[in-house]
Amino acid sequence: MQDSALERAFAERQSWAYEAAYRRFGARMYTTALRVLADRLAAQDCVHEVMLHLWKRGDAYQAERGALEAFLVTCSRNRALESLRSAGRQSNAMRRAVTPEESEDVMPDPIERERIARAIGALPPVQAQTIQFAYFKGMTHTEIASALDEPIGTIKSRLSAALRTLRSSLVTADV
Amino acid sequence: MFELHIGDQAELYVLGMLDERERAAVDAHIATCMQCLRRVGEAEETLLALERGDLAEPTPELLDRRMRFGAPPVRRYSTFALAAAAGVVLGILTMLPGYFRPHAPQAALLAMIHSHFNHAQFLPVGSPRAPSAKVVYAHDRSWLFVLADGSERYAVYAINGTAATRLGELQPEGLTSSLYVTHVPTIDAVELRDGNAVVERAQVR
Repeated sequence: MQDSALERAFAERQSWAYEAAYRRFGARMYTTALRVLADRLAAQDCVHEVMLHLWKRGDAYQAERGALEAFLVTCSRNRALESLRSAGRQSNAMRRAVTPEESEDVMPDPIERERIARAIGALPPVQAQTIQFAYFKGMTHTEIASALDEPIGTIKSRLSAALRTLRSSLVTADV
Repeated sequence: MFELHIGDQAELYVLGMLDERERAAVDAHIATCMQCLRRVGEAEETLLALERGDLAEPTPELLDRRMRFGAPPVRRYSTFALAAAAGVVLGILTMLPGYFRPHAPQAALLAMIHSHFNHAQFLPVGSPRAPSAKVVYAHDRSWLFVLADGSERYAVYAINGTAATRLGELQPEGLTSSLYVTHVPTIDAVELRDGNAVVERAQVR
């Protein structure tokens, strides 16, 4: 089945599309949640919570938004971050997850990792540092602003610019 | 909350930087603004690209646990039916007496006509001699076709986590070499190897 057909059906809240999306993208959602939470059961619960929340809400995704997989992975990561922050376990799991050689759960793909490292390395140094804090360590913009002694507005602009630059090197070049 | 568009909030939303109130405001805005909806979608695709840098082994329980959403599926068989039809066509062609037995490129072309497919570029793994190569594969993994520039007979391996399964060897023909395989096992990457040395690798999504 083409992704576009699945995305349209998912947006129309057809039950088979939710099951197909879960089968096709569940593993990636789980991997994302696991990287944040560093806990297999919590990561599984996170994926199920996301799918059930989206099913109940029904209108969160529109096909015009873009790739369904990207939407679901973002939902999983943000749900996992919320779970960490609400439990007051900020960043400990993330710090473990960014050193995967210490964890049996995470197996890095060396080629993708190198490509991403190169893309981040090509960012201006202040942007690279900010995206590392935000993405790899799961820090909030307030925490980043405090750590770098910079205004919050500067951090926000920097994060936005960094992600847009990464898009041009990671997504638009990915044919 | 927003004068016209959400601006930088799109990327911050995707990175999980916004609080509940700010997220709700973005959700409300993108429900009616197509331009901002697309900007959020683009940021989500960037996040997905970053996430692909780390692969973890999904537990069998996760994949085995079935989630049910309302009514039973209606047309889940359509892709499989197409793939099966392509398989039947290929099978009949190869069995007809006096008819040609399709070699790899022809079989792959027939498979492409009859199913939906993706492709991925091989990237070199420490070998300066790595040829340009691609893997084309059916969405439902019913077949896989590796095509490389040059006549080297590299071994083709399917990678699933830490497990590697040998699929066969590239067969040279003219300026290229190729391998066509049906009934592909579960994979997340394909490797070309020279003996035990990995020459290049393609990530399958």
